[in-house]
Amino acid sequence: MIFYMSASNAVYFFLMVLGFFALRSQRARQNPEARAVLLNSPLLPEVSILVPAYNEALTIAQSVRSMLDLNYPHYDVIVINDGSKDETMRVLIDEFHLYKSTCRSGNAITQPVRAVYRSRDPIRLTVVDKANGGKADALNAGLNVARSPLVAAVDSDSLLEEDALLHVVEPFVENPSKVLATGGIVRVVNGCTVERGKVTRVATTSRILPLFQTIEYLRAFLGGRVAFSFLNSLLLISGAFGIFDREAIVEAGGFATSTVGEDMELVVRLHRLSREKKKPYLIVFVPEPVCWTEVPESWKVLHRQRNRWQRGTVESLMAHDKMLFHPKCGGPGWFSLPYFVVFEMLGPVVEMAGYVFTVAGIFLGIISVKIALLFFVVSVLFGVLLSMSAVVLEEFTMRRYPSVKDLARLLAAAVLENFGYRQLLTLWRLEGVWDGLRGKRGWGAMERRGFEQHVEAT
Amino acid sequence: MTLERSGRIAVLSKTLAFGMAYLLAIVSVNRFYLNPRIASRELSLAMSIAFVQCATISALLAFSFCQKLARQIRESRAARVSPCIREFQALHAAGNNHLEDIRQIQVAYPREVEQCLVEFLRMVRGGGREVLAQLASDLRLIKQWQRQFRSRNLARRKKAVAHLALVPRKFAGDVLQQALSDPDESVRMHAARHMVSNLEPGELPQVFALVVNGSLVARMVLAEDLRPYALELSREAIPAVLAGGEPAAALAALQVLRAWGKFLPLPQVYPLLRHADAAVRVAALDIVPLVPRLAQLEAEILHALNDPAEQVRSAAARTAATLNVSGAMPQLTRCLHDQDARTAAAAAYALAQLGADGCRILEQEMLTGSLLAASAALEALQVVQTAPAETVAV
Repeated sequence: MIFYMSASNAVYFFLMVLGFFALRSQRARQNPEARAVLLNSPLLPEVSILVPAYNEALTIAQSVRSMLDLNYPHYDVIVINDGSKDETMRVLIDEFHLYKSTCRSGNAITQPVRAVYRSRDPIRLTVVDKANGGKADALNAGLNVARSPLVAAVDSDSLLEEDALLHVVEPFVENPSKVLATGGIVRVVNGCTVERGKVTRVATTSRILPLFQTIEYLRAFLGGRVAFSFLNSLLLISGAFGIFDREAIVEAGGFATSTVGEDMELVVRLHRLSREKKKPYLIVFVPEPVCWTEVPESWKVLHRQRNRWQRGTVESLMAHDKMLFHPKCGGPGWFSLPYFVVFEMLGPVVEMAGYVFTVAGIFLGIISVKIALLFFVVSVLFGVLLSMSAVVLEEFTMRRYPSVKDLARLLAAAVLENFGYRQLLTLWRLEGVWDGLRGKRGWGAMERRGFEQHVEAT
Repeated sequence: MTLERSGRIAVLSKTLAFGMAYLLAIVSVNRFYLNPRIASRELSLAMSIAFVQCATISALLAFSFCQKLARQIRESRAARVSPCIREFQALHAAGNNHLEDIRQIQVAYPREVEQCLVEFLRMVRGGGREVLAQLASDLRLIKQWQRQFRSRNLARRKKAVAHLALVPRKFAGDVLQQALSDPDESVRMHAARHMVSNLEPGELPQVFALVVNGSLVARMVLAEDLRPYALELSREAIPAVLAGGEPAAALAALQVLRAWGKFLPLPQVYPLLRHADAAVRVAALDIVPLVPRLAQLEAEILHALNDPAEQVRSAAARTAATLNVSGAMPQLTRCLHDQDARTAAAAAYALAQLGADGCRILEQEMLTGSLLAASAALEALQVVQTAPAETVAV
């Protein structure tokens, strides 16, 4: 157990150090003046933003408005109403003056499309109204309608920063023939001030649950993904914000509807297919663009979300288990997949087993209380240090949280999350592993507050 | 941004070096401090890892704090002495010799003197710039920038290029030319951009060569910088690349023309409409509306509408609409039944944009055509007639 914890800590820390140097190197290469020029270039590729929506009446209008207001010259927005039971479709029709179009769909098989709408206003918005089939099915329906060479998958509960699209498209422009997908950093909007679909003031929240999740997001995005991307072994581009080469997805067969982790599954599949074809390719994580997302503020919804994420991981890894240590699979097969299996999939199993055996060991007299306490201290210390490393990395590279108060809150959360929260997540993830192995389906509902509700007195 | 090979190696070596030092620290702490004190070997090792990590994080936080503090001190110092430095520099540029005064200040405030001079150089041209360049040379700043240009640090090289581009070439030497062949593209692009902003005779073809041979990002950025020189380049440099027929270079040149969107006398685009590479044919079709019409234009578009590559047929349909080639209507009607949905849609939009006759054909297709053709026709008519112009997209 101690060995496992030390190994996991060492790997995480190695990823963070690699991420830190990679981030610094990337930033040295950046040319901010050139970006302004790029924005005016007609050579920038067109992007279709796919926004699947299910029961999002509360936030959909603001999300779409924020997406229509991006700083990018050639893009269109395709909202896919995935059989919502609330007023999502009505809100869209009223807000954006939609009319029924005869636009044809492509070839991918999806749940029946009821109608395709376009706006009478001078905006490039298409709305696909279809029967419920899940997020992957909705994305496939969007892919059918999309005409641009690049498609962005964005969650309807997310807000994109004005320049996000430009940043995330850059790798495609630098390496048009090799880049298959890029993903951006996702940050927590809870606590920030949102006005008219834009984050106008970045701040951390005082609510404990979203604050803990802020730390988790920092740890996942700044540490792991930058390093994995550097090694071209990135297995996950967040479903909340990712851009894909449309042709590559269509060739790969679209988003898989058989899993709840369609984002990870697709990326792993793209790795596999490209490696099988011996085609040079890149899957890139760009730490610059920011997609703000609303994280759960209730334990119940967080439980559902984490269970789903863990199931998605298990399903994706099991679907592509043949890649593990396959001679042709390079970085993904020899590094990131084993990492995901050992630390992400089996992590909760080992951690929970450690807790159980320690408690049992004390009762049976095999382990002394002193050693057990020391074990707990080390376990907590490892967690604290990793979280603090993420905060330090943020402070050294991106610096999105301006005030000292935010930094203090983040550091406090990095310590506190290890007392109860982490253990609870381990339990839920364990449950997710079990459900994933049993093949349980379903997403569960997310409760929305609406973006502008996040403003807090500070 | 994807890193080039040298950058990747540098990142990996730094990580490895850090990792080795880290490992060494863990082993030392474990062997000499914790192992003698904790009974369990595993726990002692784990504690050592935690201890070293804790120390590393604390050191990093302290370093971050010191950095912030140093920046603040520098800024307040600069705010205090900069007005005086600027005044001396302005007087020196106006013809009064203040070299010794500035030298004296430079001894105590080298960074501030350099910064003020760079800012000043950005603002002046002509004789004033010559005087300031001489001052930079006398203060040995130019030597310093030339030395920085040879640094392995990317940011330092970029900064050196930016500074040396501000002084006349006789002071800077051939550093900018050397920078055009730097292993890192961001430095090459940086140098080219600065060269364009202070272009000297004979440098234009060098920069254009970088545009043609560089990545798409470099092309997009430099194309904008070279926009004022479009006509000059269309006399020799562009025709030479187009006539060369090398697909990648021809495609790059056509992309530059597309980025400019300027009407230029380039009949050399026409032969590219029959180039062996489909991507070049598509790019040439996009550019044809921007070059003088030749007699064979309609025949070439009709030929392209029968091209085996679907993207070429689709581009030809768009061009037919843009140039209002009404003679292409029969071919466009045929393309409406194309297997490729994009070609069919492009043909439908082209017909809709060709006026009443085109719309009539579409209306007829809605009644008698195949399901796909009818759908494309209806959508094109709907978008052209119902929706505002801005939403029309093919």
